[in-house]
Amino acid sequence: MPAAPAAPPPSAPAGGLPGMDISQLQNRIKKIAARHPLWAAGAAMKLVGPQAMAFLPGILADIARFEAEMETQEREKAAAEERKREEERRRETPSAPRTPAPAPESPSTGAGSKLWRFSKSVFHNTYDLLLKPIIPEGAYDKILRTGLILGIFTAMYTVFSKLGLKTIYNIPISGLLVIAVALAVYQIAPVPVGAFVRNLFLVLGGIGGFFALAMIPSPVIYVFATAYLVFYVMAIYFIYKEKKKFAIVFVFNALLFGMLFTGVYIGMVEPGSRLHSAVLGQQQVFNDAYEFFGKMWDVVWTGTRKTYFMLTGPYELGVEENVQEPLGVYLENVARTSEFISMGDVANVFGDVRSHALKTDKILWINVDCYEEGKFELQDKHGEITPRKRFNVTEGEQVPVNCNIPALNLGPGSHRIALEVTFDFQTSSYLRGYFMEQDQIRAYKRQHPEETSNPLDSFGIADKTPLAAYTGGPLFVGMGIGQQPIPLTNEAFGPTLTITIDKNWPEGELLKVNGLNITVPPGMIISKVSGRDMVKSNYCSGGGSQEYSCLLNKPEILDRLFPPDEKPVSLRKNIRVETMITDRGILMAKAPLSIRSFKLTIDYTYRIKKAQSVTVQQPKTTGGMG
Amino acid sequence: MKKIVVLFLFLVACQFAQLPAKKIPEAIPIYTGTSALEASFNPATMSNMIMCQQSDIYVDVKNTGAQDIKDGTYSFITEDQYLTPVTERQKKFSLEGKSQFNPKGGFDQIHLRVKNLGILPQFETYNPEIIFQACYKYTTSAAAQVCVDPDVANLNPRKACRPEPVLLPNGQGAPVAVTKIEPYMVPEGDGVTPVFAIYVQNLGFGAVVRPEGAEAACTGGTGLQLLSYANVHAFLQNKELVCDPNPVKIESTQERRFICQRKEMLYGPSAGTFSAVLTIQLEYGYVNSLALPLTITRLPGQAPCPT
Amino acid sequence: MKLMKKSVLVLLFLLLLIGCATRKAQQPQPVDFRTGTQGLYMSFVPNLPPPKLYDREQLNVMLQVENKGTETVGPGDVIYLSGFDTSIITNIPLQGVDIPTLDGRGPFLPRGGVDTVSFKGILQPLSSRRIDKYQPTILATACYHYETIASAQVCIDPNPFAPTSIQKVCTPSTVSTGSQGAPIAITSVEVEAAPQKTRFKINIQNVGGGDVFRAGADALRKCSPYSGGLGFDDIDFVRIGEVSISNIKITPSCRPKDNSGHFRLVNGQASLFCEYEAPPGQSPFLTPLNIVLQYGYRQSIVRQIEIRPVS
Repeated sequence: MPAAPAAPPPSAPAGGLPGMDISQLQNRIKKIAARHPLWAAGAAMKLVGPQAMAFLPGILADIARFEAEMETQEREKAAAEERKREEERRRETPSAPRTPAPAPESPSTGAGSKLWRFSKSVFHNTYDLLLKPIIPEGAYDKILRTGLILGIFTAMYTVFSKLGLKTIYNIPISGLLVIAVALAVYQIAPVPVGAFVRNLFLVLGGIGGFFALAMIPSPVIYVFATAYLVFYVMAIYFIYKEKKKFAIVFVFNALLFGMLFTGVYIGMVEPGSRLHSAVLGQQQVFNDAYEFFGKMWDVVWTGTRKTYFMLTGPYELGVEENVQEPLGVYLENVARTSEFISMGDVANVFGDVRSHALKTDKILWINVDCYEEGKFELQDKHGEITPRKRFNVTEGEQVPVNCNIPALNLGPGSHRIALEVTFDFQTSSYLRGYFMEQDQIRAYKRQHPEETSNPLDSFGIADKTPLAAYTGGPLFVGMGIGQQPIPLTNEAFGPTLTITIDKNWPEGELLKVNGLNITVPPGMIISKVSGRDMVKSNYCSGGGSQEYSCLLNKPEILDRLFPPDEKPVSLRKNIRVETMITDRGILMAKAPLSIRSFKLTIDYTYRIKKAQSVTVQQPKTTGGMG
Repeated sequence: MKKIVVLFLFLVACQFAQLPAKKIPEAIPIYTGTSALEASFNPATMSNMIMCQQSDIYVDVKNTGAQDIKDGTYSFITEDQYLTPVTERQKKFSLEGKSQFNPKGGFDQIHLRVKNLGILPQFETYNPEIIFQACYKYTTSAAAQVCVDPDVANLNPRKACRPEPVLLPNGQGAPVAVTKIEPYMVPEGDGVTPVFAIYVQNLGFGAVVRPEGAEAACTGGTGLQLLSYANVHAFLQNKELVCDPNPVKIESTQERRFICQRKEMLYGPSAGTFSAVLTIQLEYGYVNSLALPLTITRLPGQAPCPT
Repeated sequence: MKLMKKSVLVLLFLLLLIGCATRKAQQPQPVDFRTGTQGLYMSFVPNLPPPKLYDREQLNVMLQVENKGTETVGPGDVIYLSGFDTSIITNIPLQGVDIPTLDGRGPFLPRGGVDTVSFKGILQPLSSRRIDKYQPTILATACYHYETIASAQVCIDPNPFAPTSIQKVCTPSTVSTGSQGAPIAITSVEVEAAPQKTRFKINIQNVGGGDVFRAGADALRKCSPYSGGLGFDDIDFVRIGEVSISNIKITPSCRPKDNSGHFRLVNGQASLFCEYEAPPGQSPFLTPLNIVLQYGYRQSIVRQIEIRPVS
């Protein structure tokens, strides 16, 4: 155990310690410092601060306890020596009366104290022999302090260097820390500095502990490191009495997250070092958590949004067909081959493109692309796709795709590589409508004035408010026709069909609508679509005893419904289709009730994108002051 | 000797044996029940069909009421965009009611063939409904024994009958039933005029329409024809009474009441207290509806239906 | 052998003795016939009418009538048939059918007269009226005159409170008279003796099960179910025919009665108060008190039938 530094004389506080002999206090602390140096340093710091009076009783109590302890130890030591002498004497004089067995040795006077005495004796002997002649009296303390400072500095430097902190940052950081410790321990700084130092230790200590934990080579440890972060912040906030705790928490978080997410550490830390791994690992943890909560939020947000739109309207409802068996194209199992690559390497991101339950007769073409996120426009940031950038899939096919981007194109550092799949898809929807003469509905209502009565009851129809049904896929298509049954009056105006298009999958986005085909039952025509006249246009066909359809696939009409500058298309979208009744007889087919369907088919391009992080490491440089 | 005794005892025992009771033929109740036409989809109906194929729909109909159905109309309502009828979807029909010679009533089977024109692409199944409707004119004939009692002061405690409400809980073999008759002997001069409060209700499972709207209910008609009203005729001692309101509104959720009387029918003391038969006839149209859900299935890889 | 012969002979002799024992001559004795609570008894002859019949048949109704009382039922007394729709069952006389003369029971006539009364009705077709069943309750009503004659042995004590110790023959007390073979019965006579005046409280009750009404042709006519009906002041009235004691008519002293000599039964009961002034100085004696009541009586029986159309 190194020789305890002499306790520095406590500096007089601003107002003094009333009723206290400072020098006596100082001496007492000095005596205790030999055995309890850390306590002594702490006590000294406390007595420096503005709260000195508050800490004084506690310090005095500690002093009394330690002094009692020391006294006990001295007594035991003396007793032990006495017993030893007795033993020797007994050995010499066997007839001497036996003295009682010596008391058991206290731990403080065990083997450790032998080493301490030996070390001390060596030091003293060396000092006496070599240094005393050349070192003047009184310089002993100063030399010790200087040695201590240098020692701590060296130790810090070494540790940080091993951790991976670059020399150019290591020296100032280590030096700053040592100076701070010295200031605090030796109480030679003005009062605010001591407080500053204490707070600084809180911040840096927390960060240090965080990274120390993160360095433990276990994937799970990142979780503990993150948990440590949370608890440390809570501890500072709830336990620390200082008013500045808000600032401390803020600075702590700013420094930490700044280090993690601003790339500051990149220049400071040697790539591949343990500190570097710890930082990256923690980065990944936060990224994954962000993605996870982000997805959850998407789901919650989508549901909330839908509910909000349904309440505030218009938002037509629909039911997905075969919802247990999702239909469409999926980009799954997206991963990277390795998280860290060197400059000469290739960043490889891969995934599977799978089609499921496709019921269309058309061939489905898939386009695959990959690039660094945020740099789509730069050609060299795009990767090479294998086996092909464009291919077709049929039902149940699974095609693996790979993306390779040279690390040189990416540059050093962390990059998010996006793997993207776009495909053309079609979603169909229909809505059943019940038509009745208005007179008939009124007659029924007159006879059944209760609120819940519905004329469809008299036909034995169970589902009186049918919802639109749409095929599964990326888009949700809801349709509404108003209250059912649809009343027919003498006027030619027919019901208005409202179509709502919204996202059905949490992932991906609608890139473009390629076509809309709206069909109304025979006996009706479509007069307007979202206010645009259809009667005089050439988009529509049919009529008479055939269904009447309007195919909107020309840019001049589609662009009005889905502005081209909106990429991706912002959802939800509502489309209103106004109709006219041209032939009542065909519509009702000489029956008191007519059951007809409104149909919709939408062709569109959809994109699914998933990203992975890859870090390109700079080549390792050798150590030194750089 | 013993054998003779046993034989003797046997003969004696046979004398005391009870002869089987003579069976008196019971009259078959015709004018009971609250149904007229009963319709149901026959289990042989193909409710699951493959896209582009045809399907046969069978409806079993029977007349379990007391009246014959003459010139009734039946109609099938289908989703024409998916199912087109191959056979006639609307036709006239007649069915005999219950009688002594046909206590169960007439029955028949109605057939419709439909063909599927296809379903939306990407849909594996589609579930349209087929609705069967039968519309016909019907009559409820109720006869209830009522007491005409000019002795309103009840001077003669020994009477053949007393005017009391007559409950008719079992129906009259028709969906619209007379449920209760309340006689009132209203004093007029020296005698009384019998006034009857008659309660009616639709106890069947269909809907009542005006008799003139019976056909229009299946072929599409204006609202007024389809209101639930019945024409009333009431007779006492072969004389028609005047009823009000007439036509009377018929509801299924509650009884409706109308009053019948004839002011000229005055019964003095000399008429004595006697029971007579009050006959009531209600004429109306009736509509029975039945829905059958179908399932049209597209086979995997099946091509669209040829046009 | 000898002993056996002797036994047989003794046995035969004993049989002869027993068989030839003299018998007392039985003379016919007069029977106390004034008992019973019924007057005219009426019943439907079984199966006339039958419980079920069809509208193509004839309705035959036959009633058996028996006079179970002591007075003669006869001319002027009528049985009516009612309770049915006369447009469905026709040919039934609304004025009724006369009851044949039926003698009442007498001292030497233990059973009263028995006869039948018939009605033949014609049923009208039901199917044309859309009637599938007609179930009328046929009411047979008998309206007839009747009399109740009672004789009670009463004790008259002109000086009931005389301070004498002579032995009295009788003491005035209540005499129970039972029934008299008529639907109106004098149930008891209470005797209240006072000096020179003896009061009788005669208790009367309708025990026949029918309705009693005023005597007289007018009331009898009103008894018909096809008439205006017996009014409030016709029903439950009984006329005092005669009340006499020791051959002296004390009818005028009887109360309550109206101008026509009728008194009213309340809840089927009534009490008649009559007085007799006994000659003075007489000692108590027993004497018959004769009471005659006259009234009309109505009795009904019912039979339900079911008539169905043939087709």
